[in-house]
Amino acid sequence: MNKRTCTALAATLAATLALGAAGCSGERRAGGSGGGRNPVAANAGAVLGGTPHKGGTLTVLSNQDFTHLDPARNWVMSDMDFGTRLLYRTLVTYKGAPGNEGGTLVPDLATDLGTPSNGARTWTFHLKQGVTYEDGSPVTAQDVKYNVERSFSPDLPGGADYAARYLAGAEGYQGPAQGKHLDSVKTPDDRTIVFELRKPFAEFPYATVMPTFAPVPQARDKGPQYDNRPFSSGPYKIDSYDRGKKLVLVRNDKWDPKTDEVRKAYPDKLVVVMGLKANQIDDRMIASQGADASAVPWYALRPESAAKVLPSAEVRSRLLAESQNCTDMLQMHTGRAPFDDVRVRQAVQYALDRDAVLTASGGPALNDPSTAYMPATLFGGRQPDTLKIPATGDTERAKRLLKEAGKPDGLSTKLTVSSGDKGRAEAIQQSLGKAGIKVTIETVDPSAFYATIGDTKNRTDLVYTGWCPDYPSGSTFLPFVFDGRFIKEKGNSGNHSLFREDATMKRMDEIAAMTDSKEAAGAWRKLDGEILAKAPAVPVLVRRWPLVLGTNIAGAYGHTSFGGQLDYATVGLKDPAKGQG
Amino acid sequence: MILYTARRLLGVAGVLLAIAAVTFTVFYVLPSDPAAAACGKSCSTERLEAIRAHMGLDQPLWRQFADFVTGVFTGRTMGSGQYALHCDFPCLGYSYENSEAVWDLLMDRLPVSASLALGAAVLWLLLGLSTGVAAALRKDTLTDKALMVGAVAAASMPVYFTSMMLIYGLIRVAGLLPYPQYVPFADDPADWASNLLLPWLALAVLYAAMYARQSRGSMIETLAEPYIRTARAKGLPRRTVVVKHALRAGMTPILTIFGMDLGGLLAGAVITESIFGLPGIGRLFYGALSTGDQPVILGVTLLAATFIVVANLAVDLLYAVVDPRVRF
Amino acid sequence: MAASAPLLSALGGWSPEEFDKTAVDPYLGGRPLGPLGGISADHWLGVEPVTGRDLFARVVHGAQVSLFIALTATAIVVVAGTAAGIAAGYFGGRTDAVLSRLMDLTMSFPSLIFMIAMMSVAKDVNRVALMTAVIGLFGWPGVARVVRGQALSLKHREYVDAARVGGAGPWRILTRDILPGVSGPVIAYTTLIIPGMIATEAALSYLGVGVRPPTPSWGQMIAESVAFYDTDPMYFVIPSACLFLTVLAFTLLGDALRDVLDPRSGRA
Repeated sequence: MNKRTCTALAATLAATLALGAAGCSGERRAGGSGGGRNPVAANAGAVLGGTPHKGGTLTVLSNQDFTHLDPARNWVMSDMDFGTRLLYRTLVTYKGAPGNEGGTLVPDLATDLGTPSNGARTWTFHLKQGVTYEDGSPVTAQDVKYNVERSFSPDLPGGADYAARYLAGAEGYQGPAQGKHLDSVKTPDDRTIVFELRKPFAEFPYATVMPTFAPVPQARDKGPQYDNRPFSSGPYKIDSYDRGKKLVLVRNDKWDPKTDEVRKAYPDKLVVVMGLKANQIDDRMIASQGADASAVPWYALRPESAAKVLPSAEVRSRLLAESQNCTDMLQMHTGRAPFDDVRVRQAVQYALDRDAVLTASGGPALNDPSTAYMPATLFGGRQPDTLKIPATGDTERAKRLLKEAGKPDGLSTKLTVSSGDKGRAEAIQQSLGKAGIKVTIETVDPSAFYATIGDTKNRTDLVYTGWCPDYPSGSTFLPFVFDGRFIKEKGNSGNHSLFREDATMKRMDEIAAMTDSKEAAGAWRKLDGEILAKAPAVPVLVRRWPLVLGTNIAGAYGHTSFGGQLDYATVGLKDPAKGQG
Repeated sequence: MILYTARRLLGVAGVLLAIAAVTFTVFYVLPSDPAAAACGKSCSTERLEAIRAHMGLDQPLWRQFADFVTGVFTGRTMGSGQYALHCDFPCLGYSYENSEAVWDLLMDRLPVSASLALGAAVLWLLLGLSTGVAAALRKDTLTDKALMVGAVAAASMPVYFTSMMLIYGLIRVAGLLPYPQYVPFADDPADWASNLLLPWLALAVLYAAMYARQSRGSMIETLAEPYIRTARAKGLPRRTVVVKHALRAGMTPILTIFGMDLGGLLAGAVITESIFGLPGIGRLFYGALSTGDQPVILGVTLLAATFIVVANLAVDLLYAVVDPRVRF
Repeated sequence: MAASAPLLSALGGWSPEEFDKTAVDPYLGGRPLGPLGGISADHWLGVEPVTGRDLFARVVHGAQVSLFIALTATAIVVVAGTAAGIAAGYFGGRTDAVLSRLMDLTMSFPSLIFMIAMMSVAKDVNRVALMTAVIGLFGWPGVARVVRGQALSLKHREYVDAARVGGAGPWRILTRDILPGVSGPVIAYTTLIIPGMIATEAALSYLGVGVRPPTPSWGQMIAESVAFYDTDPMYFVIPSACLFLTVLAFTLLGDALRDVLDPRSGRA
């Protein structure tokens, strides 16, 4: 035995060596096949698969559960899409259309987009007649008010905070569970709701798209457990919901299509299968065999699977890749050394190899490099390139800037990223390292990420995070990311460069007060470039939301206002008979 | 025997309590703030405090632990007013993530993990023991050596490697099986089995290899025992001797590891479940970790510990049945 | 191989963290250019997809990390286990009772689950050290049991009694008389648990709770390469094969040593 073992060991070693030796006999090849136009963007702005036929079962393959379906807590782009397009209606919603048209508001529960008065401090909405819940009872203004109140409840965390931010007299309000109500939301009758805001807000109708403004009848409210069974006012209702396993939606026959101009409700049934393995979902969607032909993926295609999708024209024709409209940024702590020196920050700007980060993120097919803070939609379709830094960075320039800043030997710093951004962080680390900026990466679990970087005292100098405008206006981007007055010592969000500059803040207030939306949009764009020159953060890239659909899917497009997620209001099947499940 | 069982059960309770205490402390001491995670992307300090109070995280550690332990036996009411949740015996609290009772979540996932573990166990016992016994009976022949080399190799392969090979071979290339997607046994037994076959194989390969090695060693030792020689000398047929005498005694050490292995797997095979996307307890646990869902983490740890200690107890009691030499 | 990692990778001409953009195709999700995962004279084992990092350098450095953790954890387990086992076996009585309870308790822990949990909540600490400690924490009772049994039987051997009568203190007896007596089984057991330790490190890293990037470790490399198992099979096969061969080698070595050192299983 002993002798045999030695032989085996030797064989093992020999095998290892052989592997190494085999490695020497390959051929050398250099250069990439890059350049040219993006093969992925071909379907941008188009509806895939034509108009669907009514009926059949649409399957959604997901690797995860929904964060929250409770309308008071639902604040994740995809979940908001799913919730508001299928299960509950909001005062106002986005039009169901591909491309930029998706940013248009249309009334939903309300008869119009709201009537401002008192200098846009008071907003009045009237509800449509004949809108009912799944049990046939009418949707009332009181129910909308009730859900707005619920969003304040500490038992129901996670939701959008527009109500808390804009409603008058909302300070310290803790939700309706203890019997207290908000006076600034008035319901003079069952179909009229009036919001009193603490300051003028011309864009309030955009906020009422949020699930916060969906109705929840008080009698149905089960507190935290409402999340598992929201009461439907939309075209589908929950048949069963096994958290983390499966959600089955069936038609809500009390929903009246005549009251709804957005939701088409083509399939008879929707089945969301959760907890699957992401790469197996990709493989199943690419193969699109059997029942998977009537399936759509919930989450974006993983960058690793791009190599299986892009070479095939057939698969590519089933690929949607709408922009997510969020800008990933490398934000620097401008409040302390060494990044309080604008030259050091500019050095980072020049040193960063956006191309490498792009590759780590799935390549130019699935991402666009970013040359400005606000995403392209806020620039009318295309970001300007004011600094003209090469995409691969300019290491020499960065070194010069560091020398000017009195750091000829470079510096060491730390970068915090969410664990999903690990690859991007490694690319950043690598490119800054070339200019002499030594970066140590700290990966944090997604759940703890915001709490970690929100602790302004203890966080690292660099953080990598993005911001998405909640609706197409510069007012939902620049003030959130660069207004020094929003900085909080703990739980800080948005302004992670801790950028505080009087001139910028003054300008933001001026723009916010503009009544002409065109003039305001232009002013935001100009301000974007001015901030970029001061380099509190480096815009890196804008991701796409690639989805490979089954061959039997029709009426599908990525919705620009839902981060490129499939518009669940209009998707259906080509041939319902194939999707019986 | 009864006294022994009672004493052991008491020990089991003590062990579980200790494990609960350790798990509880570890998650309290190590920095992780479930309140901040629940609060979301725009969270004010006041709201964070309110959420923390609602979750009971503002209480001292011993108080939280005492509440938890009492809750397990008597049930407890969490929150107040309209949103109060009452959770009955055995109350392991509510998930921070989706407000479901932890006990219900565990029971909902258990069938998946149990299907996986039991199916794989049947396979690996059949495969492992037969290989081991066959090799032992042909000790030092070429067959023996070939089998054992195979077993060592199989045991050295990480389960994720075997799994990917199986997925590639049987799904991608041959197209013989579907991508696993759990179907409950009650819905369609054939679908249940065909979806689980791949995960079973992946797990079974690893364990079968270990069992083959173990059972071979154990069988060889037993076959050398004097009483076996006596039986053979008495002229009993070889088959009877092997099956009735040698196998029975030779299997006792296997029983111990089997108890441990099965107990551990029942509470979720984290890697296998996550590779195949099976919504079992292991996957629940993995998900709970990434969201900091402390009650679920604690619940799974306790359930897993329970399975292990109960399996150990069961094995010790079974000894008496299998091995006539053992008496309590 | 592990110890000479820097040397070996210097031979390859790449550092494990260096990107090579010319070796991958950004339009195909960063798939390596060339056959067999980009194996070339430049990159002996090809490159990592997406980043173009040299696979040979990473495998070699990964070996260093993986083996360091596994061997250190083994050392911890063996030292702690032997100490506890000797103490329990030799002193007996209350010491034995307490230690045995502790062993039972530790063995009842769902160790993998608990290790994952601990690794995932701990932040801001040296990952390698933490991982070594956590893996070590759950391994010692196995050794302790073996040693305890051995110590129990040695305790009343004539030569030990003789030493005791001769006025030797307990420390002297433990180190001079008992320790050599238990060393055989301990060494055999040690080599048997090393493969398990390597596999555990790989499993933890595979689940994403192990060492942090850009430090490579085999488990982590395999975890990342799983996504590419069909588009770039070599990337998946190479670290998997290394892990497999190492575990196999240690298993065989362990078997051989056990046959030599542990008289009980000499027949196997």
